[in-house]
Order: sequence, then C-alpha cells, then structure tokens
Amino acid sequence: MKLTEDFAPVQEAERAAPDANVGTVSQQGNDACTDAPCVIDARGLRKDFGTHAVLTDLSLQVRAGEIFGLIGPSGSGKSTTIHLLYGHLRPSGGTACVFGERPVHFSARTRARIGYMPQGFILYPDLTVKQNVDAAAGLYGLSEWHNRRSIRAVLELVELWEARGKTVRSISGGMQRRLALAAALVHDPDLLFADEPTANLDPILRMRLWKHFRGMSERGKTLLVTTQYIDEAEHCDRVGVMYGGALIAEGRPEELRHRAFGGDVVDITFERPSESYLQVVSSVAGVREAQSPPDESLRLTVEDAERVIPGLLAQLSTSGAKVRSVAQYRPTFDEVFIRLIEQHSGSRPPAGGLTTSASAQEEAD
Amino acid sequence: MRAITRVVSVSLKETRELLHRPLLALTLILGPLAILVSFGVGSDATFYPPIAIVVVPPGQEKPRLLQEYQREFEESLTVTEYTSDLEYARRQLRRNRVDVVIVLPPAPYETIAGGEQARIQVLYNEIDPARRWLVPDFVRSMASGINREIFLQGAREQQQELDDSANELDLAVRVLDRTIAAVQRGNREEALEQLHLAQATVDRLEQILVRLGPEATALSLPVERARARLEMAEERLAQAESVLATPNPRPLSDQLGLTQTRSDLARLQAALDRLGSVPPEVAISPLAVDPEYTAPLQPGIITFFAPTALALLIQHMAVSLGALALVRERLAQTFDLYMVAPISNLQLLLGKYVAYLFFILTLTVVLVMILLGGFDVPLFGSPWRMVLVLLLLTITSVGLGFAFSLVATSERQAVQFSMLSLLGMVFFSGIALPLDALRLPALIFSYALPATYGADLLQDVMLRGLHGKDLFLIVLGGLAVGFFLACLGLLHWRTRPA
Repeated sequence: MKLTEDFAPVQEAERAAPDANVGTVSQQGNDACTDAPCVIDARGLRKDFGTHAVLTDLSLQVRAGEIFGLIGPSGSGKSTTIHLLYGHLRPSGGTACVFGERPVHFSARTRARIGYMPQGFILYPDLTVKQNVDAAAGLYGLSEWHNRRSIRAVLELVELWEARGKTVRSISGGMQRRLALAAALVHDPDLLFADEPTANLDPILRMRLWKHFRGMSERGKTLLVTTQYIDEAEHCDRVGVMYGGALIAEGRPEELRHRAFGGDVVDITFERPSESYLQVVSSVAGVREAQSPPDESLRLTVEDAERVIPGLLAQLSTSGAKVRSVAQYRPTFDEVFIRLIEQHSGSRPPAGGLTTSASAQEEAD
Repeated sequence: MRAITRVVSVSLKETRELLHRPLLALTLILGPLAILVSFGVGSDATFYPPIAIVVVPPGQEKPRLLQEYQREFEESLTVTEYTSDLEYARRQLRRNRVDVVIVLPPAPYETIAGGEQARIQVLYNEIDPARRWLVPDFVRSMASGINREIFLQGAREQQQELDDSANELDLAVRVLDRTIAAVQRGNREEALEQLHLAQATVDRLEQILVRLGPEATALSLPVERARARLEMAEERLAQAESVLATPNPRPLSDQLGLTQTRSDLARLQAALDRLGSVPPEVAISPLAVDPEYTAPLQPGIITFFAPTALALLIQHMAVSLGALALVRERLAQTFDLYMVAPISNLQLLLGKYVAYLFFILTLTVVLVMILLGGFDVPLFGSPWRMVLVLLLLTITSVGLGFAFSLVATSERQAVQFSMLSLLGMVFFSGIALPLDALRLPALIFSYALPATYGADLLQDVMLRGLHGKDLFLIVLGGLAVGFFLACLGLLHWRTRPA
C-alpha cells in the first residue's frame, strides 16, 4: 500500500522513547508503570458511574505490533475501556499503563504517538473532507502545507480523495466513518484506538481496512480495535470477549474457538446411520463429547482432531460402520462467542447484542 | 514551532467554519444594525407639548384670562378643545384621549386683586415614570409665561407712576426753592403761598406712592417726613411775624427746616430717577441665562448613539459567536480529539481567540467604515486610540462568549446566555438609561459588561476628541485578561478526566 511509503513521519523527537513501542518510561505519577513490558498493560481496571459499575476487573496486555480486538455486545464496556486507556476517563480502580504512562497523565510526546477513532462522528460537518483531515493533522502539529502527500495518501486509503472538496454534511454516513478513520491515521500513530472502525462500511472497504491494519501491525504499530462484527475477530492477533463489563475470555481466535467448544469439533456422516455408532465413538480415546443430531451424522468434540481422527476411523471400521465423510468443523465466531457467553453467565446473551458482518450488511441494505 | 502549527491549525479550522456559515455572521450584524438604524432614523428625541382640554368656568365662553393669554396656553400645550364640562374633560383624560385637563379659575383677576393667588387646576394621569414630569413641566412653563406677562404689564404701569412721582418731586423741589428764596427776602406772604403749593405737591406725591403699592413703602417715609416738616414750618411762619425780624446767626430757612426738607426730596428724586431708569423687562427678570454650546459638534441621534451601537454590536457578535464556539464541540464530543491529541488547552484557546478576533475585527472594520462613511459619524480623536479600544473590547467580549460556552450545558443555554448579555447591554450599558440614572445593583451589571466601557471610551474618542478614561481602558484590559484566564480554567475543568 502506497500509504506506508507516503506518510511523512511524525517528528521523531516526539517519539523518542528508547523502544518506540514498549513502555519503559517512568515518570512522576507513573510509578506503577515502570518497565511495563507491553504497549498497553491494564490490571484490575474498574469504572463506576455513580453506583453503576460499567467495567469490572478488566486486565489485558497488548504487545507491540499486535492487533487486539475487543468484541462484545453493545453496553459490554468496550468503549469505556478505550476511554480509560486514552485518558478521557479516570479509573475507579486498578491501573492502566500505555507506553509506560498513566493515561490521565499522558505527556504530549506520548499523545503524539496515539491515534483515536471514536465510535460516533465528531468532526466538523461544515468543513470539507480535506479540511477536516487538515484540522486533525494540525492538532498533531502537522502543517497541512508541509504534509500534503501524507494527507492525500490517507484520503486515498479510505477512498475519499475524490470527495475531498465536499462538505462533510453532504456525504454519507459510511464516508463519514472513513473520514474519521483518516483523521485518526493522518499522523501515522504507533498505537491506534479504533472504536468500531468498520461500522457502516461496505465489505470491500472493510476488507481493505483490515488489510491496512495488518500492514500497520507488520510495521510494528499496535491496534486496539473494538467491533460488534464478531467474524472480524479472525483479523485480530488476539481477541478479548467482553460481556457485562468484564473480559470473559481472551486469546488467539483459534484458542477461543477451542476453549468455547472444549476442543476441536469433528462431523462424521455414515452410509447407514445407527445409534450404536454413538457408543463406538464415545469409547475412543480423546473424544470428549458425542452428539447425534437429527440426521445421519455424528458431531464429536475431541481434544485434537488431527490426532484423534485416525483412531476414530479405525474403531468405526472395526465395528462395521461405513463412513461417508469425516471433516473438522470450524464453528463460526457467532457460535464461539455465544458459547463463551453462555459458559460465563449460564444463559444466552440478549438478542441483537452481537452482530455478524452478514447481518449488519442485511440491516444496512 | 509545532505549538505554533497547532495554534494556527485551530485558528484556520475555526475561520473556515465561520466562513462556511456566512449567514450566521450576516444575521448577527445586519439584525441589530437594522434595528439600531431604524431607531436612529425613526426617533427625534423631542418632547411634544401634552394634548390638553381647557375647562373654562361655566357661563364664560371665553374668559378674560384666555382672551389675554391664549397664545401662552397654545404655545405650551396642544389644546384640542375648550369646554365648560369638567366631567366630560375628566372622561377624556381617563380614556387616555388627552394628556392633561386644565381647569381655569372662575375669577382670577378678582382673586389676585384680593391679595391671593389665582390657582389653575391641572389634572393628568401619565403612568410612564420617564414622562411623568412632562405635564407639570409644560404647565409650569405655561403659567410662568402668563405670570411674566402679568408682571410685565404691572411693571409698565408702575413705570408710569414712577414717572408721575418724579414730576411731582421735581415740582416740589422747585416750589421749595421759591419758598426758601421768599423767606430769605423776608416776604412772609409769598413764603406762605409757596409753602402751601409745596404741601399740595407732597400730598399728590403721597397718593402716587400709595398707588405704587407695598414696594413703594421705603419711598413713602421721606415723603411723610417732608410733609410733617412743611406743616411745622407753616405753623411757625403763621404764629409770629417777628420770626422774620429776629436776629439769628442760622439762616431762617434752616430754622424752619426747609433746607433739610428740600435736601430729602432731592435725594428721593435721585432715587426715583434711578428706579425709573430700569426697563420693565429687566425689573421683572433681573437675571438672565445665556447658554453657549462648546462641544465640537452638536450630534443628532444617530451620531450620538453610533459609538454605543458599535460597542454593542461588537460585544453581541463576539459573545454570540464565542458562546457557540466551544459548546458545540463539547457536546459533539470533539473535545475527545483534543484530549487524545498533543494539543494543550492554552494552544487550543489561543487558536480559538486568534480566529474569532480576526473574524470579528474584520467585521468591525466594515462597521466602522459604514458609520464613518455612510452615516457621517465623526472621529475627532486619535484613530490609534480607537483601534486600541476596539481591540480590547473584542478580546474581552470573545472571552465572555467563550466563558458562556464553557459553562453552558447545551447550545440552547449558550444562546440564552448570549441573549441575556444582549438584554443586559440594552438596559445597563447606557443606551436605555444613562449610567447616572442607575443605582448600585444595576451598576454592578453595567460595569461587568465590556460594552459599557467600550461605549464610553468610543464616545470620548469619536465625538469629543478625547483620549477616553484611562481607568476604563485599564479595566477593559483587566477584564480581557480575567476572561482569558477564566476560560483557561474552565477548559481545564471541562477536559479533565471524568
């Protein structure tokens, strides 16, 4: 992507930490952050509004160059977490360190390394698209005259260069989201807080955006991205699942899938189904659970599919079963998250809390 | 350098936003300007004579007072009707069809002749406290005019009496001279004859002095004394013929008191001459007022209020635009961007100040050109002083607007604050009422408004050619700094982590 080469670097002087992406700075009021190994290190973070606890005991660590996705239904505390991490909110309990500093005491140097894309559109509707990006660049000390190329590059990235002369009031909601993203990226931040960056974007642009995020990550940039599109978890290096103000699970996507179902899921279909096969497979080592859906197949949860499937096939063959197919089933993240939430709360999450890309697109259409 | 870039960037953004909303600025300027111009063109600040009904005594279609002084009535009042129906006149007053009812006394001349004041009854029901003085003032002016005419007429009559007295005195002195001469010649018969003539003249003089009234009391005493001496001289002349032959070192005329009497009457004559030489107009109004206007110009309504209107417009524009400047961003959560970005509150505030100062000062230049060129409002003082006043006024007003913006919890509330400040300006900055007419609680509001200082200073510089009060300039500068610091404090408060 051209953007990478075209970005005028934010003044090195403003990023002069010994290791640009790891917080090692100890400053007054940041004692607990000394030698924090991660870009973001939150421990036992809590936020109350009056008597209402919005966030309870959240701990997460995000390493440099990582894309960390916070996924959860609306009201689960994702945005509050971001607000705490960029210093808008003061935690009611626990600690948060970003680049080795407490967010409420960020230095200007640290702020220059952070980008923020808010959930709602908060730019200037009376200005043109380009004037908005100019204004955002100006806040970071980037003169619009000396940074014309990087401003153009970021507008091209979000496909708004052609619309640069239009007032924001006259462009669509999707274009406004892209503009907000452009404003957050114009100073090429080391850490990007993106609160639902892909909301209201079409699938092609969403794909491009994730590709760009990946590119940023490969250049050592760190991203904390919230989304309600649970299938977007695939694009993240690690995912945190939030529910009811708590982080109920955290890990790589595959780990979460494994954790949600207690192992790998394997589907077996037979030429002639028989209830006796259920007993046969249950006795195989490594099989944790076997179910017989109302068709001619069996669904098994196993410890490790690659290791267990040969033994399964051998056992079934011995018992005379004619297997038509064996396949490892990859549950959708919808299923994964619903499972995780069910395991956490003992009940199904409220309808409409989580959104798939497809359902969002249907709603948008 | 980077800090300057941030300030410039915020300024540019604000200016662009303002330029994208030209209607807002136009409304802010043209609305109040149109109202002020209409006010200036449509008002002449003249108090017209009250509309009056004159009630004449029943049975007198046109009483003598009216016959003689109708001009005085109609110069001070707009008389719509003469009637003898007092109840009708009262009804008209109650219905507010007239401002005043004038009830003439039934026999004024007889009352005055009887040594009492003749009273004109005045009925009015003005409820406007600012105009309540109007009717009594106009009626007193009318009564003064009539009284003056009466005095003038009396003075002229007295002048005539004084002339007669002088003539009689002159005659009395001449007769006494002849009497003294006859005494000195020893001609008793002639002396007695001249003495009688002198007595008759003094009698006439006494009668004239009585006619002149109490004011002539001082003159009567020497006349009475003269008459007494003349009677005594006559007695002595009549009693003894030997008086004329009796040797005496003193002249006989001295012995008879004739010389002293002549001397008294001569002094009286000199006093009457002096009195008679005063014209009646001077006698009734010895002191006159001779006002002279010394200001560089005699301004009309528009000219006089132009500096005040300019100050008001600047404050109104600055406060209205400033009040919306920050509250909109605060409520749209654009402040979140400022909290993430490495821009300080000072840089943010400076950027906003620069943009709004530039914008409002540009509009101010246009307004000043309209006033100086279009309405011929003069600028007698230093243009640089005027620039300084306008600059300070704008900075202070923008600060006040920003403070409103940071305190307000909604755009509507910010607009309400700005409207309140406009109302405050109208009532307390010297437009509706002069500051001298305000008491302490109101004066606190007056001197909290930048426009109060701006209006006073601009009037001094533009219309009087003065430098303006240094204290006001210092206070305005102090307010500018105070509002800036207050805004900075409020901004810190608004952007602190929740």
